[in-house]
Amino acid sequence: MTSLMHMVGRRKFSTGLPSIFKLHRMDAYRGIQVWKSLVQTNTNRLITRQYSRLDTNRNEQQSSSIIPEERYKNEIAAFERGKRRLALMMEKDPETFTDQDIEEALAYLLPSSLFAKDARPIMKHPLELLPKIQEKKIDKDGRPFAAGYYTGFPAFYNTIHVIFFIRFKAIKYCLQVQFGNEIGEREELLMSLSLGKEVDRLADEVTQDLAPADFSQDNTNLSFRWLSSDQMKDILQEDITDRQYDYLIARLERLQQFPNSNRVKDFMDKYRKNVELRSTKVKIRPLSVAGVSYNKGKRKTAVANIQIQEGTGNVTINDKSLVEYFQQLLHREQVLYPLLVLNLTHAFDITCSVRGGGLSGQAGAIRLGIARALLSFNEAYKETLDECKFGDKFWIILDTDELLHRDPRIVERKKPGQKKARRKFAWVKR
Amino acid sequence: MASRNFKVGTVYTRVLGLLKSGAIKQKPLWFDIVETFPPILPTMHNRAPVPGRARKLQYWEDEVREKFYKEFKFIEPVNLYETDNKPTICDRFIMHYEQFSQEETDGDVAFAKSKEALEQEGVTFSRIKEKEEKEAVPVKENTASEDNASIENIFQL
Amino acid sequence: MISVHILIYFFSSISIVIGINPLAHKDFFDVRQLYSIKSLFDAGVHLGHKTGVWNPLMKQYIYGDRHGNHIIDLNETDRHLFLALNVTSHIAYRKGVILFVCCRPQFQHLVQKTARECQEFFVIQRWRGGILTNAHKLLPVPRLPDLIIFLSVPYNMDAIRESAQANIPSIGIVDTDCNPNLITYPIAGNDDSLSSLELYCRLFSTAILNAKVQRQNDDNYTIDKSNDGETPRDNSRAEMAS
Repeated sequence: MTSLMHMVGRRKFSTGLPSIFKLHRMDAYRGIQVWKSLVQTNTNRLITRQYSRLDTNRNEQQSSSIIPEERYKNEIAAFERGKRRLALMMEKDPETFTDQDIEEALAYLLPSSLFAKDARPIMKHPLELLPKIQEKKIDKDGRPFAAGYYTGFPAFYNTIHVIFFIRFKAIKYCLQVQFGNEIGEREELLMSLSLGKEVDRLADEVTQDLAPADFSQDNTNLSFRWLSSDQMKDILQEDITDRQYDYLIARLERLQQFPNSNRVKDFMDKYRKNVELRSTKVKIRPLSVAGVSYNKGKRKTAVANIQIQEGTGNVTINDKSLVEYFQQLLHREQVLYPLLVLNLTHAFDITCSVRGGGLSGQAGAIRLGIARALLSFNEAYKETLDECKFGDKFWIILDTDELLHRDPRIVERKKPGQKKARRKFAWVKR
Repeated sequence: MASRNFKVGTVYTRVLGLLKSGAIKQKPLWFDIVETFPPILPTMHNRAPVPGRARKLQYWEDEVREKFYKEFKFIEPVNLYETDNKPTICDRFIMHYEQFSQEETDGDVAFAKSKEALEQEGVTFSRIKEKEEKEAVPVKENTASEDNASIENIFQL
Repeated sequence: MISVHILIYFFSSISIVIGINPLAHKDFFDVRQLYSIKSLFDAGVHLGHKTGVWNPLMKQYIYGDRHGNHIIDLNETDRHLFLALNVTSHIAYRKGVILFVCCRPQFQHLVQKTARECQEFFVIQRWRGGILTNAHKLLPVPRLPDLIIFLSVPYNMDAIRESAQANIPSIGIVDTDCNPNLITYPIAGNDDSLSSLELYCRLFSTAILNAKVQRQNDDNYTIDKSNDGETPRDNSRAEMAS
């Protein structure tokens, strides 16, 4: 504590100091006590020690409440008070004092040289730090609340049930839209989908608010990714097995593929995350004065420098034509692929110089360079180049689908004790 | 802790015993109900099966059906989703047969009469035997001799 | 052995309406009205498996062998089904916990839906071994069911054995290839087709819901809801649970 006081008292501050730091020794001591009550480190012992003192003051009603805000009322109040004090100390407006500001304040006032960031002083809202309240499992009649109580994974089965229910609603709407009210023997039709009387009965429960216009195809969203197993366990608060996780993802995937699944977007958003497309980081260089786009591409050890101009479709590589330089159709197609996807093979003249690597690597490098260079002409190309919608014209299978992504694969190093990167020495019995 | 008590007596007798001995203080919720409405056969994990097999269900209509389907070629699809159990052509045949067999002693006569009755109702019959005759492949004459030996008649030489 | 039984919760929460004891009546909940033998037939309950795969223990429930397929005797089914539905209704009336068990993938949604409709419980996909006999470890609060309904017996033999070990009465739909010995109230019937399973689910859920409605009506009419003259209600464990 003395060292802290020392630091507080003698610190050299470059920014405008709050007056509190021109402290007398005694005030500094009081200051430290204030920090202690405000700040907690993320160790269970400290939390329980602090809050165990507060526990005894807690009201009966509050202790039995399952709503976190009520149960931890005292802790939240203490946090808010501390936050105000901290704001005043830093001479900032307490009303607009954000979490970021708290972090900065603590880093400033209580600098810590500890390596582990977790062990440094932090000040967070109690609900983030305190353990989640265990809900009551059994009601006053002695019956469990959850229908799937005896499975061991009630939350998992709740999710499954909701997905199943939504899907059946969706099937019903598909039928409505397709056949409207003209179905003579609708029951037979429903049964022909091998759903049985189940759907018919569910049809009674289904709401009528979905209009046929909502039957849209626009729901394929490439920028989503389902949560991982660990994240799912976190959400469900249950330790589901790998099999159950796979099953859940399969159900969600099927749900997403449904035409009007965008109606239940809120439900599905709980189980998926936005994935930033890698190509959002691609920088677009401006064209030169002469209307030439310069860019580079790399693949394995090959490096290509690309110049693209508007022209008639000539491709020159290291002063040779495309056909001369690349004998194989595979490589020629790699080079032209970005233009093929955009249907612009006739529109541009390409000059490139490429060094290093082998033929395939050089072809890949040129491809990347061309894709990047094309963006300078029209930013709208980015969409097509991202998703690579080439339709049914594929005749050669290509390495990657994302043209704007630099292929990070390189030759794997050789390891000692093995003949090559993976090949082991011949196993000898003796 | 797994016990092998479940092999002794029924759920009811075990719990009754536990209550009597004082191991359990209170009756379970279901106890009175199972006492009042006991199962038809008390559970016994090693109950021996009743000897013998199930009887075969054969009816006189089965013979008629067999004969009918042997004689006539009828592939009539039945819609299983329809639960009103509309009688098939064979069923109708049997209804007629039943009437005629009360009058006639000879089964064949009753059979023929039922067929006539159905034809009057508008059913066209095609006999399997007739169809087989039409589709019969003509048998080739044995034209093998050493003069015109070939692969076709090699086994006939 | 004894520890297993201490796990079971005894809630004798019977509120006996003045003058009415449901157990005194043969069919207090009018379970007879829920089905007829014709409805069983239409749902295909009588259809058993091929004779070669039968279990000889099912002989008394089988009507006969029709061209290599066993036909289940619907008279027997009727008797057993009536008894089972009656018992289910009484247990539901007493607010007992009823557990539907069916671990077959084609019926999992049906079973879950049925259980949720009548506010009871289900186990689908996989029966966790020891959930009854090792409840202290596997359940947050070891409250065991008062009745277990098995909608498919051959896939759940371990669960049936466990319910016998835990001294919980069970109802089970037994097909011609099943072993009915350990089930308290077996019901002979087809367990493979959707139509018959839908029928059973509908019957059980209707019986349970009717019983619950009856219970609510009776509760509203009781003058004395407390436990006068009865064994005291064991509330201590419920409080421990909260």
